[in-house]
Parts: sequence; structure tokens; C-alpha cells
Amino acid sequence: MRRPVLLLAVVVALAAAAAIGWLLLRPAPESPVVAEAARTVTEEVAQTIEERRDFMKGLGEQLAVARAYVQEGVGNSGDVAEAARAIAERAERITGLFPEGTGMHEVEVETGARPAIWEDPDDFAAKAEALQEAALAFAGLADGDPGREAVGGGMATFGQEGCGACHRVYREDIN
Amino acid sequence: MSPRAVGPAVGAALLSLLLVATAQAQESEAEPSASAEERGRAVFDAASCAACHTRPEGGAFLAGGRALASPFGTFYSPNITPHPEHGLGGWSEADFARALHEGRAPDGSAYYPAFPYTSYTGMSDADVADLWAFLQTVEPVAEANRGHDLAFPYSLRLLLEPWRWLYFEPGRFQPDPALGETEARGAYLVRALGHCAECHTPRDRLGGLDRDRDFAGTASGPDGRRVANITPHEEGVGGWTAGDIAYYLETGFTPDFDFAGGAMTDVIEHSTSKLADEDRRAIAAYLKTLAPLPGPQ
Repeated sequence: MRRPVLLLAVVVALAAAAAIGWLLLRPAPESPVVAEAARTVTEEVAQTIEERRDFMKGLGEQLAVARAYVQEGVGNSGDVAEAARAIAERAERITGLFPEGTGMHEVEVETGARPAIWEDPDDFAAKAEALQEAALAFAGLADGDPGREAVGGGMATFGQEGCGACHRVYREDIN
Repeated sequence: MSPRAVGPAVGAALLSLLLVATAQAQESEAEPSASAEERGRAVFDAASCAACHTRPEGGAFLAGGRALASPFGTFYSPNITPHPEHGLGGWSEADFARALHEGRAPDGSAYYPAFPYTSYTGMSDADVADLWAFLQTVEPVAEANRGHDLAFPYSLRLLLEPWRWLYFEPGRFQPDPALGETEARGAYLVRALGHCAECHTPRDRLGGLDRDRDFAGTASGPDGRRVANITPHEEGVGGWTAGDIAYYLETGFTPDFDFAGGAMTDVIEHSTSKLADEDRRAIAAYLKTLAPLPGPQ
């Protein structure tokens, strides 16, 4: 009884060793990343990408106003409301900053724009609209001067709904 | 690749039992009011269970079915609601502890490491018990599990046995004794509950974590996407203060007011934004103690 069990164990061990050896020696499995087509970049495309990166940084500058108030008590709740309205006003420019052919696999310039943007443009536009709504809601909260902690909470909600909802799907984490 | 060392593991298990007992005593002093379910909810958040076990875009809470693409094929997370047929309703607490600590289903078969038991094996027994208590409070959902869609030979579950022998070291987490209390708590959150290495450490060809490049990020993480370097190197988060890291984990905003992208958005929403402030600070303090490595490569 004991011998067949031992034999079986040896066979299983040999099979496992062979399988590991084969896996180690074969070429690496294909990564699920879409095979990158030839990347091209024209002056115009480079400009568009620079423009949208500056645009996003501009939104960040408005958020810096909000954070300075929340974390350091610099300025007041009215400044935060103003910054949030500035973001809301700019949100409608977003879809125009992502023309076709400017995705991360298509250009040599660094960009985190995922191909999904152009696979579902309606959803992408809806996310830009959600940014506007979230910014206006945040501005409305700050208008009421509810205190730093509450404004901080509103800023976090704005981040999740305004920024995160879109970045989750459409933005590669490039830096 | 570190083959299992049985002797030290037994010693480690005994030591960790002692540590767990001490930790439990401290915990019950600190928060006498929290019930097991409430503590379990906090464990659940810290372990980011919802991010994988709930389908984005309207899936029922913890009913599974979320796809996770990998070079080996697509994994689908299972239903972990207490539904008797489709979820964990028929499981005992011991079955649950075995799944987390040993990576085995109640029938003894091994799980694919898409389920990060390689990290959860470090969870304290107290946290596992609390997590189990919390999961009992979840609404049961009658949603059948979907089988993984894997390429041959990865579809052979038996191959996981040698894989585990090579890459899986079971045992409760023990912090480096050189770490202070805050950093040690951070280490537990990062390495065991938060399972950060599962994405932030690159994997080798067989899907094992490349521990020499711990937390240095990877160009081809889950779903084929880039994952950031979180070591204190200039290519990682070297330029961030501990406060910057904690604030990022709370809100998703980086120090220069960029916002998290990809899977990290889910991690922030489902996990790190819900942690206690001191836990986020502990994570930040621990990340600052890591060896700075360039990357991702």
C-alpha cells in the first residue's frame, strides 16, 4: 500500500518540476497591454497635450487655495467657494482637450490619457459634467462657511466625485 | 524565491500567538465600546475587500464578479456575502481563517494568488475573527460565481502547489523589532491588511513578488497598468512629506494637486479614505522607512 503512494508522490513531484521548468524557460506571457502601434507626434498634438496638462495643473492651483484654508487656515471659506466655481466654469473645456489620436499609446509625449476615453466618448463627457456638478456643490457648501473641517470633508467628496470618478477609468497613473 | 523554512516558521507562529494575545489585550483596553462587527468593519476597510469583491458600476455589495486581467488570464472575484449557496453561508469561521491564512478553500484546494492571501496570511487572529463577525452582517446575495478565464497551463489548479512552495510563506505578521510603535502599525497595515505589495511590487514570470524590488512599482501591474513606486526614492514618494502621503491616502490629492488615477482611486475610496487618521499617519511613517529604490522599471 505504501509503495504505490510513494510512487505517485514521485510522479507528481516530477510532473511539477517539469511544469515549473517549462514555465521558466518559455517566453514571458503576453502582457494584456494593447500592442503599441507606431507612435507619432505632430506639433499640433504635442501642443494639445501640453495645453491639457497645463489645464489640469490650473485646476490643481484652485484646489491649492482650498487646501490652504482647510489645512492651514489661510484665507477663508469664500476663497474656497470662488476657487470651486472657477473649476466648474472650466470643466466644459475638458472634452475639447482630448481630440482623437492623443492617447497614451499613440503619441511619444508623456500622457496618461487611456484609450477608453475614445471608446466611450459619451461617458467621458458625462464625467466632465459630473466634475462641474461636484465643483458647484462644493462651492455651495463653502458659501455657507461651515468651518474648516466641513470644508475639508466637502473637498474630499469633490475629489472622489469630481476627479476620481473620471481618473479611475480614463487616467493612467503616470506620476 | 524563498523556499519555506519550517523551523523558523514554527517559532514565528508561537511568537506571533504571544504578540496577538498582547495586541488583543491592548486593543480591548483602547476601544472597549467597539463591537466585534464594528472592529471588523474597520478591518474590512483596511483590507480593501470591497474594491475587488464588488463589481464597479452597480454590482451588489460583495457579490463578486469583478474581472481582474493578468498576463495569465482573467480572474473573477467570488461572492463573499453570507448567501448559503453562492457565498460564504455554508462556511465555518475556521474555513474563513484558513482561506485568509493558508489560501485554501474549505475543500482543501488552493486559491490563485489573485486573492492576496500571501499578504492576508499576516492578519492577526483577532482581526480575522472581527472580519468574520462583520461579514455575517452583510446582506446575502444570490449571485453565482463566475469561473476564472485562464490560459493553459495556468488553468491547472494543481500547479499552484509548487507555486506555493516557492512563493508562499504562511505566518502571522511580525514587525521588524527595530521599528517604533507607529511604524510597526504602519507595517502591519501596508504588508498584511492593505496588501500594498500585491500591486506595488513587481512580479516575476511566474507571478511571484520580486522582493528585491519591494514597493518600487511596476510598468505592468493589474489590468496591464502602470503602478507607482512608493519607496522614498526621488522616483517614488521621496519628495512627499509623511503628511502629504497621509493626505493623499485620505483624499486622492497629491502634493501638487494632481489626483490619483486607475486602481488607486478604488483603493482610496474603498479603503484608505475610511481609515482612522492615525492609521494613515502610521502607513506614511512606515513607507518613509522603506529602502529607496528607483522605478518603476
